[in-house]
Amino acid sequence: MPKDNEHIKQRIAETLEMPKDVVMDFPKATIIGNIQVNIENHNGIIEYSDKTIRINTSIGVFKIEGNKMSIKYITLEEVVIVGIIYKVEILD
Amino acid sequence: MGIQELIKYLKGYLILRIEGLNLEKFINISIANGINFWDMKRLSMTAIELNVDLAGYRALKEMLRKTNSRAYVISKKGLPFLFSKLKRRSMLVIGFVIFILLIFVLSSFIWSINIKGANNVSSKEIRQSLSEFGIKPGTFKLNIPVIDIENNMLIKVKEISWIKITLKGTRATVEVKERVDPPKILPEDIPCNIVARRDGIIYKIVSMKGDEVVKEGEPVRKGQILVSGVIERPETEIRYVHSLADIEAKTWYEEKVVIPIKTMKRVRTGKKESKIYINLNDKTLLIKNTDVHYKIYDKIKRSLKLIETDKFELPIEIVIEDYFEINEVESLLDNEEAKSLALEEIEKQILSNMAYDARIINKRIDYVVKEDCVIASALYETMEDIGVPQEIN
Repeated sequence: MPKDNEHIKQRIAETLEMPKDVVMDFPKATIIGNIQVNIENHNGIIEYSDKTIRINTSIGVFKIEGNKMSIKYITLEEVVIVGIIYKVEILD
Repeated sequence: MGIQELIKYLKGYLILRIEGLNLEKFINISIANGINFWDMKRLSMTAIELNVDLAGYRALKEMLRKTNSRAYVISKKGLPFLFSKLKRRSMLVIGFVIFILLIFVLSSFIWSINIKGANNVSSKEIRQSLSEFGIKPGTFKLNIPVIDIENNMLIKVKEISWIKITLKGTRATVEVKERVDPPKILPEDIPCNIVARRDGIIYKIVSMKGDEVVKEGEPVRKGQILVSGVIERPETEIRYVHSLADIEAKTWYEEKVVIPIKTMKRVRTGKKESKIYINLNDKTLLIKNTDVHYKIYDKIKRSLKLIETDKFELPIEIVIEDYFEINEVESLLDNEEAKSLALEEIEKQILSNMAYDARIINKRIDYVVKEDCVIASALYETMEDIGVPQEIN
């Protein structure tokens, strides 16, 4: 449910060909093989265990399921999860 | 990754175990306050292990209080912790500094001198002269005027024609080239006679300058004038010339050798005693001493330098002296053996006496076999130039 000004932002980003995650404050997830997930622009951790990790973002919750997962490092901008990744899910 | 690890190490970091009921909240609050974590592991429902840098750890207390969690330090890593540890052990640091300084100071002295190329000049003499000019074991090597010393050495020690001193580590290497004296030749403008250098019979004499005094076939004695540089002619003044002649004479070399038939052979019995001691400069420190009660023994001394390299030599050596017990066994030579031994010995002696330009024309060796020994006598006939110039007084 994008608001009006978000709609405008998206239009601008499209016309100027700017990266959407920068303009729209969207999260950006990078999955490397099945061993690492990087999520930029997150809003904190909701759940953290070695089987399930849930991360809050501006568009919803990223739920990552896997085995022997751990957080390689975490800063305000980025969280890097390593382990064996089975599933990355976006929940509204 | 290497550089990041290094920065982490330099800044210092801690491995913590955080226990609490709402650890996700703790993490979120912490990162919102600018504290970064890495290598986070879930240990159980209520515990996680994580790494945090030193600055983050200091700011962590408030977050712990807010979320009702507790932190336990598992280990501290990095330079700041090393420093605080060393601060408590100041003597260790002082000792280390002294150690470094000592090595630095000791390595700037000369501890040994190596002399290369001294065959005829005694290296003791060179050593002595060097120490007069300031190079000796124990000299501080930083302000040695090497070039000046080299020049002074060349002036002082006449026997050397070239010298190079190199200071390498704690060792001074001195390379010398010996002066080869040109053979003494009497200048041609100085009048001289030619005299015999040993007894002989003149075989051929051809004089180019000067008057022949002896004839072919005439026996001469050592020192006798063969060609005279004093030229007297009737009705002219006496002239003096530098005599020059080609002289060949028959000469003899005689030698006598006695070889005893009965000889004592030394046989090791297999028994052995040894002494061990440490040599430090001139002082000795006995490690293992034994009384050697053998009547006859061979003493063999071995020395081990502890450290000896091109640059460095420790003045400590371990010396092992082995004493082997000896049994003397009589053994008899038969005549043939004794003769061949005698021949060997006699040839060695004659050849060492003979002039370098002598030519052997005949040799005779006689053996006399006695009860307890073999006597060999040799007579070598040779041809050689026996003329040597001698200045006229």
